[in-house]
Amino acid sequence: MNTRRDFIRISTLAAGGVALGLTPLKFLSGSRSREELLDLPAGSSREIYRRIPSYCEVCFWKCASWVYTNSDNQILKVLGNEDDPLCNGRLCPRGTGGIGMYHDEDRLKTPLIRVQKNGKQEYREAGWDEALDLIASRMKEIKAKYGAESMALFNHGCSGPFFAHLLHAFGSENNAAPSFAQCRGARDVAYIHTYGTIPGSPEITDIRDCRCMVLIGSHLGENMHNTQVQELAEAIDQGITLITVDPRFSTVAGKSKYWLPIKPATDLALLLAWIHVIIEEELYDKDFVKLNTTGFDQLKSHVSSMTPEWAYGITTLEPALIRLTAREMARAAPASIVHPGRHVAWYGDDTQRSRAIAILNALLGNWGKRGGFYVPEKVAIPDFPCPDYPKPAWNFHDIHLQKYPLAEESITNALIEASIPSADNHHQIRGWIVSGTNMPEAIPDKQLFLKAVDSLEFIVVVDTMPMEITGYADVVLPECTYFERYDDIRNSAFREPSIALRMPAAEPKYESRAAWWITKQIGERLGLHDYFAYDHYEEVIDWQLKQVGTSLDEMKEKGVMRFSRNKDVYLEGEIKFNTPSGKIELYSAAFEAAGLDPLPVYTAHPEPPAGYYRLIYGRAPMHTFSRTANNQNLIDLMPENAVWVNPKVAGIEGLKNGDRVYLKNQDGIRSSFTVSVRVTERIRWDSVYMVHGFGHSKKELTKAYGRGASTTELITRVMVDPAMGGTGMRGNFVMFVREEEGKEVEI
Amino acid sequence: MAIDVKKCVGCSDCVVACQVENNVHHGYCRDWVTETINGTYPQLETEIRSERCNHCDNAPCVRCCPTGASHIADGGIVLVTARKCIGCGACIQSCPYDARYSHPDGHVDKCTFCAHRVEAGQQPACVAVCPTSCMYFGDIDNPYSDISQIMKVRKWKVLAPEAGTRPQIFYLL
Amino acid sequence: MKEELFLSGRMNPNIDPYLNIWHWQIPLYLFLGGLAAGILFFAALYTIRGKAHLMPATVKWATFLVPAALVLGLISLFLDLKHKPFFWQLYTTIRFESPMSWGAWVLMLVTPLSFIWSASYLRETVPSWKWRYRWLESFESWVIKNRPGLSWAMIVLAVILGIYTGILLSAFNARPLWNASILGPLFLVSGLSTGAAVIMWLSKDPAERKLMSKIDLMLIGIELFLIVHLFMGFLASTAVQIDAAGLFLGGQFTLGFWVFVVLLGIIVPGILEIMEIRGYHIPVAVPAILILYGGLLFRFIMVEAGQITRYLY
Repeated sequence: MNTRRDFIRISTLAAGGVALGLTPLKFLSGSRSREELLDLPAGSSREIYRRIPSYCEVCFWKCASWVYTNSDNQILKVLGNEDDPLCNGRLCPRGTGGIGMYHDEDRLKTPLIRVQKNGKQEYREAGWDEALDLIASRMKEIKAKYGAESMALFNHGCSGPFFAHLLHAFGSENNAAPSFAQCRGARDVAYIHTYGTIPGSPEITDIRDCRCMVLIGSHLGENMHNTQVQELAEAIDQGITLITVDPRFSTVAGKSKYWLPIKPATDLALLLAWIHVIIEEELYDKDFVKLNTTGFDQLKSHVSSMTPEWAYGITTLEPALIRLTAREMARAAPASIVHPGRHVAWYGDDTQRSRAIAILNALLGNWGKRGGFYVPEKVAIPDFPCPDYPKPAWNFHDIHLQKYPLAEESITNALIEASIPSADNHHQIRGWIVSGTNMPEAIPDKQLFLKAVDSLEFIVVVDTMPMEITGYADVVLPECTYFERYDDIRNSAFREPSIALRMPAAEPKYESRAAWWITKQIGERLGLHDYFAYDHYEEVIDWQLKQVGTSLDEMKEKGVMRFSRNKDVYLEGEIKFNTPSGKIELYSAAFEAAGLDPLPVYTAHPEPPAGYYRLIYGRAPMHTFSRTANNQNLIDLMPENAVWVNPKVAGIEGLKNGDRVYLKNQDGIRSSFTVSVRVTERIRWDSVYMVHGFGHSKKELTKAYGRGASTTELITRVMVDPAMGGTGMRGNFVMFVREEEGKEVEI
Repeated sequence: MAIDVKKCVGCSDCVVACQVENNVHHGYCRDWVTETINGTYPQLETEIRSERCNHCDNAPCVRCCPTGASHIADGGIVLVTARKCIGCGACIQSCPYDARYSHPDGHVDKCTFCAHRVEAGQQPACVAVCPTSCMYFGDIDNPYSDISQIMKVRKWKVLAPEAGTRPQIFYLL
Repeated sequence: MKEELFLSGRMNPNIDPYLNIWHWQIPLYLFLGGLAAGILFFAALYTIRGKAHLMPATVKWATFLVPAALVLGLISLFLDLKHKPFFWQLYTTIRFESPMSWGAWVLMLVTPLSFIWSASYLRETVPSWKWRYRWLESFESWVIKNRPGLSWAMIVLAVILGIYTGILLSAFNARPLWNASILGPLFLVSGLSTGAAVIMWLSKDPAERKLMSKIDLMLIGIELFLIVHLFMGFLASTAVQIDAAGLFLGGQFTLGFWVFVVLLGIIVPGILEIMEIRGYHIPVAVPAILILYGGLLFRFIMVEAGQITRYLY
């Protein structure tokens, strides 16, 4: 394939210099010395010498922690900070195993620059000055030719804000995080147009005091959202009734009083039927609805025909069960939650499904109630002073305003599409900065991504590990892990406001650097010194901490500081909502104005053809998708994923537990690697399930390479949500290709 | 130790916390998480258990050790004195829970209930880290300890009682 | 369907997916120990009964093999240890609840005894042999004079040696296949049978050979009886024992056990011995080798299969 930008597969560094991690050969030979089997060299002291405050970066929850080191400044372990209301001194398995990220020898070690050599493209090691100079000069070129707006940022994690600040100062507001369009975006948009606010991160669900919780596809416990799992355990002790709606018997389904084994893609019918029952049987909170909502009458007539019997035909759930569960959730109101979920990018009508959930919650009257949704509060920390940002000529809204009128945040896939020149592309993106997100794994539709990559003038990738995205960069910058750097103060909105400090527990390994330093360096070279008016980020943090009544020195001792609330955490009576009507909008005029259904309507979605099975995916509690697939501590727990197959299906397909198969989807795309079959009763016969984040194709990830199969590879059919551009990914169907057959096809 | 299977979600934090705390080599584990699933879709039930050495009262591993390296220490914790262990593997053969393994250094290794932490007044690493707080550790001879209290009000079971080992890890059902 | 799995990826080397902590060293030692026990038993038996002069191979020739067998067995055991520099800890204590401890001490006693016994016959075999030191000569005469007494000690130790190898395995109640009390007598009888086979093979005296052959035939009968009872016991026992027996009744060891151990290693030599007694001339090496091979393979299979059987998962 003759592309402008070859995916650089094998580490082809010029002679002389640090190798890019262990060579695959050493790993395959199996001759790892006893010392390599331990994180620290043999003979290192295990005695704790000091502890340094930090917060975790393995997922987005940001649990505050203490990092323990020995007298040689080697990191021994990391434990939760007991004062932190988010983790209460207990980290999840990924946080505990996070030290594997620090010790990983496959880490990016030096800046890399793409060069052409003997007709082949490869990476050459470079010094920081050279790399940063190159980045600054290319950015200036792009600004001169096309305007600063044509630089875009794709980001995830704590480094994001630094690069967003850099780009904003440079003149671009085009930054996107996959968490919007690929994950929670539909839900956020639905809630904004119902309640005027988003469910939050962490979600503002008062699980601790909840009496009945309904989970629509949410797999709490397998998704290890620390505070939520801790509160769920507390709630279980208090006898919470759990109602889980999932075609798969998830861990939480195993703890639920009711597990509704719903036919995939039909959740909206169930939700509408529940709304019907609750209205028909007058189980809704009449006072609350009267006082705080608008559009009830339209809602009532809308669902009048959506009976449980109607839903039965669609969902395969018995009408009696639908009525029973509706009554159960109403009985517990207002301490009754229909969980808004997190990853909701399923079928393209996800905003509507989230709207239905939001409406159902409104009927239960749980907004601002104990055991329902609480009012979050965070500490008011001022931003470090800097000049006003320049006003860009256009931004992401201009890109997708027409197509996705309700999108509040930037849409990753829209930005990717905007990077491809075409007749109607009036806002073309010319350069990318990618920080902390492995785009080929996170965002479906690889063909679009490759076309964009081909058309771009310049790509910078900032990452800690040689993830797949680094193969497409012009410049790769090695970021140090969260153990080795300062980042912004953690300020999570929760029941109780708190802040947490992250400071380095160790010197950055190899040539890696922190994002604050990288962005300042680039900023200086771009003449943006005024936006980076500090020598070391410590100054910024100290300044900010002093604004809220503490200091860096104090926070170094405490790690976490809790504040008292200024607003009420629970609300009574009439509540003011940030919507056009000031009330909860059961009927959404905004949706109507945008040409979308103002009240959710069930639409049927494509079903798997004969011999194919719907691919559904999820998380495992010991991994954060592709980010941790190379972490030795976590690989010890789960080295690869497996494809869950129903025993009846296994019988028909002739599969046994442990067989290795390739998966091929409806568009003929076959997985690069085989995956192990797990024959289990826990999955419906029309679907197969896999944990997302495996099947790495980059050999530099020596421990993750080739293990398991990648779900993203098989997600080629994307159902785009017309409301906000989200990418529905559960409409892909796979068939099994036996290992032997697969090998014959391979050239 | 008592473990509440109703709350355990199988996250395996106990496994990695133990490995980090006790410097366990990669590829080895002193504790592990098992799941049993019974039934046919959609009538299913599941049980998740965090397992380790049960520090049995009638420990077969202590009985069969030819050198006395495997012994019962204060508090009923079963420990292995590495310098007395010859690596014969008899204790590994005798454990119905397959809780022991051969350490790369040659002696036999297993869960120690984090004796070093317990002596310092802390809880074992697995108990301290569990996000669902489903693990209880303490003196069951003391009627006022957390574990005694919870065992009074919950049904519990032990693993392989028919092996006659009188295991000291109780799974709260 | 019942599904059971490790959520946390347990894969401890030599423990998962099947226990495999004892390799060839243990079955080899068990075989050599059983063989040594068998030979010593018969040597002692016929010395006590005063028939030593009639049974030269039994009391003399065969016993020369015993020190070699025991030393090889001990080396094999030493090689199996994973914490080798500390092996001497075995001899710092006697633990009566540990069959392995008994074994260590019994070997401590039997090995020197077998050396002494065979050394005392050296001069009969190699007339030109001369002891280097005078005290060795007086020691030798003392031994020869006290042979009957020594043989009482030897017969007791030989029985303990032979039976403890089985008790060692049967004391591991965590391994259902081994946890049968009949295993001790079975290993003893098997050991005696291998001993008898070797004596039979070495013997140049037809009367002695015939006697040993008859004894061996009786031992074969007992062995078969004990094996049948072993399996009857498994099948009448708990679920884990039934599963363990399943390995041999349709499982992966079915062929190896019933064809190679029972048929070739026990029944066929038995038939050959009957034929020999009836008058057909069978080269004595054939049944002897088959019995030895069967004994060795029996222990290999038992050690490997036993580790596979378990209570949980």
